Amino acid sequence: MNSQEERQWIARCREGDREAFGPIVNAYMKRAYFTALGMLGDGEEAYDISQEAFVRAFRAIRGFDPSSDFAPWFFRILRNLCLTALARRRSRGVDSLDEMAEEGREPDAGERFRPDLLAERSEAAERVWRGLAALDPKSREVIVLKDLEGYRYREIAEILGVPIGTVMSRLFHARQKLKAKLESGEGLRAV
Amino acid sequence: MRCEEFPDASMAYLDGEMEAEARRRFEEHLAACPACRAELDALRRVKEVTAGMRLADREDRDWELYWGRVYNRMERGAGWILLSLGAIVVLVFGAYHAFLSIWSDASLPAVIRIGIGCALLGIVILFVSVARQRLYAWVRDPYRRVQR
Ligand SMILES: [Zn+2]
Repeated sequence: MNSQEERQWIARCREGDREAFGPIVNAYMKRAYFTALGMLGDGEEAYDISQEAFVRAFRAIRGFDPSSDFAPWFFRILRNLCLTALARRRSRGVDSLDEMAEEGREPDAGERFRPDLLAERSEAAERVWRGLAALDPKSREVIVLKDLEGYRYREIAEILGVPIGTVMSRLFHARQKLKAKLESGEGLRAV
Repeated sequence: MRCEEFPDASMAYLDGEMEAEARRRFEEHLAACPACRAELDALRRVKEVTAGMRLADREDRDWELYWGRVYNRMERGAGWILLSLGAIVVLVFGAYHAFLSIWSDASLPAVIRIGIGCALLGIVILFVSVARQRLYAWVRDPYRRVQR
């Protein structure tokens, strides 16, 4: 779907045509799912929240500026839902992965960020996956988008709604944090 | 190139997002700067592992059903809003008429009329209070607000 087609579908959505939202959803569903998965580490939750993001986007579509791009606007909704879900996990008394990492405990990879979410499993990959799980969500998402999902900087900038320079500096700090986690062990041992 | 430019430059270099000329200058700096070279090697090792990882895709069926599921949710959301609006109208209308007919029914003793009038008024107050609380919670719902 090119951006002109996208604009036409969105114009119809803004008139209340629900069916016109279908092509938009089909074009973005996988990106939405994997973005959520990278943040949440839970396949079912990511599937559910990505759908909820589309529902909310459609409900708010009249507030969307039709002359701008749909992707950054939509991914902002999605990422906010993910951040809220992460915050709710924390307030529900579930120890956050960040807190556990600070206290030197190994995150419970059995519950979230299960290794079966990886397409190909190896000991090294599972160790790094747990290392990623122990990062803060913003560091984790940028590594997931770049390396696990293989997006270009331009696409990541669009998803995160930030300039490309910010993508690069976030990526640099995220990779340094991951390197430190892997080197220091934290029950993860070095690569 | 200077060492201060290393963070962004090293990322663009490793991720293949650097133009030829910038690349040449970066490699020139690396050749002369062991600190940046060592740092780049460490970052490259991290990237090599993460770049080899892939998140598993879901079953095709999940993607085939995806839009239908979103559609159902959208439809149900609209359904609930209409249902609640309708229920409010019917309730308020019903309560008002019940109140009027009881109030004007001279065959009932005054005490009963006052009693039923109070009960109906109480129901309306409770209903308005709950509705207001719901509205307040909805306004403060973090899901609703969409910000960066
Ligand atoms: Zn240097």
